[in-house]
Amino acid sequence: MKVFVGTLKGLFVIEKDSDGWRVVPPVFNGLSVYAIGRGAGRWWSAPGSEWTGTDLSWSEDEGRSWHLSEGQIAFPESSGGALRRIWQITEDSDGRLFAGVEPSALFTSDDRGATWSLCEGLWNHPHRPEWQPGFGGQAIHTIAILSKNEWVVGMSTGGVYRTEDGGVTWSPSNKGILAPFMPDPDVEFGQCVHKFAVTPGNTSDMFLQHHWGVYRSNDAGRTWNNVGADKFPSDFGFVCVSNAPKTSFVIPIKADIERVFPEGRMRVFRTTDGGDSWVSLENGLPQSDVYDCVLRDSFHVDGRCLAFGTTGGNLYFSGDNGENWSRIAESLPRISCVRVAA
Amino acid sequence: MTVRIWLHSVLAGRTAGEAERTVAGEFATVRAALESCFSEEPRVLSGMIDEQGVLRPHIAIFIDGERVSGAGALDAILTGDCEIGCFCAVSGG
Repeated sequence: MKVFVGTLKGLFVIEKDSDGWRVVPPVFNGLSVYAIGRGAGRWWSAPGSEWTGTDLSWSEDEGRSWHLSEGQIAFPESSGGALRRIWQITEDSDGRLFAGVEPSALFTSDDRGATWSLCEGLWNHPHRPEWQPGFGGQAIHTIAILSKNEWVVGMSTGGVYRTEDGGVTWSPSNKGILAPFMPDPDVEFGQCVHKFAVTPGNTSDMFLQHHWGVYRSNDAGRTWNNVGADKFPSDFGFVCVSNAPKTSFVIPIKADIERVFPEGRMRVFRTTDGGDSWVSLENGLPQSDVYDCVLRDSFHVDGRCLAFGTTGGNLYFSGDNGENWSRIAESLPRISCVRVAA
Repeated sequence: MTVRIWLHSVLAGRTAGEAERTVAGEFATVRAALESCFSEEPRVLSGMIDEQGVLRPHIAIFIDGERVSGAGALDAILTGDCEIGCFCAVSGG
């Protein structure tokens, strides 16, 4: 059992052995790690800095050693784009790699990362000039590969976009998600989607954390319904994960300026009935004076094992589907992404 | 023309060899000298220059101790033997 933790000062692996959890000395020291992902038989990471940009790296020994990828993600000169940061790395069932990056773009690789191709269909979308960066940056932060040619991505702002022809053409997919920060809240695109998750075993069933509210879709993201109204101490939050049908976990955060846990209490909320009801999971989590936050990619689930990391450098783990939590690392640098390998 | 090139801080760690180099030839600009010097080490160049050929915002170029500022730093004209320093700005936290 281990948890990969990307921070603003390197990549940490937190391992569990017979003596409990231990922090392995970090790699990529001093570099920001915004993405950790699994694909093509490897773990992938993207350490970077404001000085020298981002370098894609991989590991074939569960994170013990890392190698600079022979192929790096770069925009074609003709695109006019320049890579700022890699936010997401995943794969499809055939081992094809997908990377979501900042500025908002999608790259794919069919040769285990030796070469990468820009998804021109999304990059050249006529909406792109109107996408505006949220506080975190204008990036593709969520990728869901529903089938060989049906992909769904999320960005903030811009919202959800989907393709059904393998990336050639894309359409906004935000119907039902209200954007109160826009003159007309019921807009086709421009939503501030923070994260979405597909439920295992049913690619039509999705949950989504918006800047305002938690939503669910029963039709693979074509339409959305608010399933969180008045059910949380705050409708704002960054994370959204799922590990079973009709099930999702979210972590409310106090909006808009403070961005800390509401009422100073660290709580995870879980639904197992499609969002009709939500249970607050608190056992083992601090319930007073918490001025901390969890960013969009810092919550991950593998089976019944869950882990989330905070901007204050604390890492929490649950091995029983969120019923009980324990802090397994503290005083890490600001945590930007988490991956559990149960 | 002989140009000495110094890579500092994080940039030095991206080289396959020494952080101080000397390259001889005719180089009209800083960009030409850097591209010639590091033609076999693309990580050095990509650490300073993005895909669009633009100097990364937190990289600073000095010629004979004088900073060549702004987006045009890579296109600064070289007129003879000189020393180019490539620095990482003191930024971050």
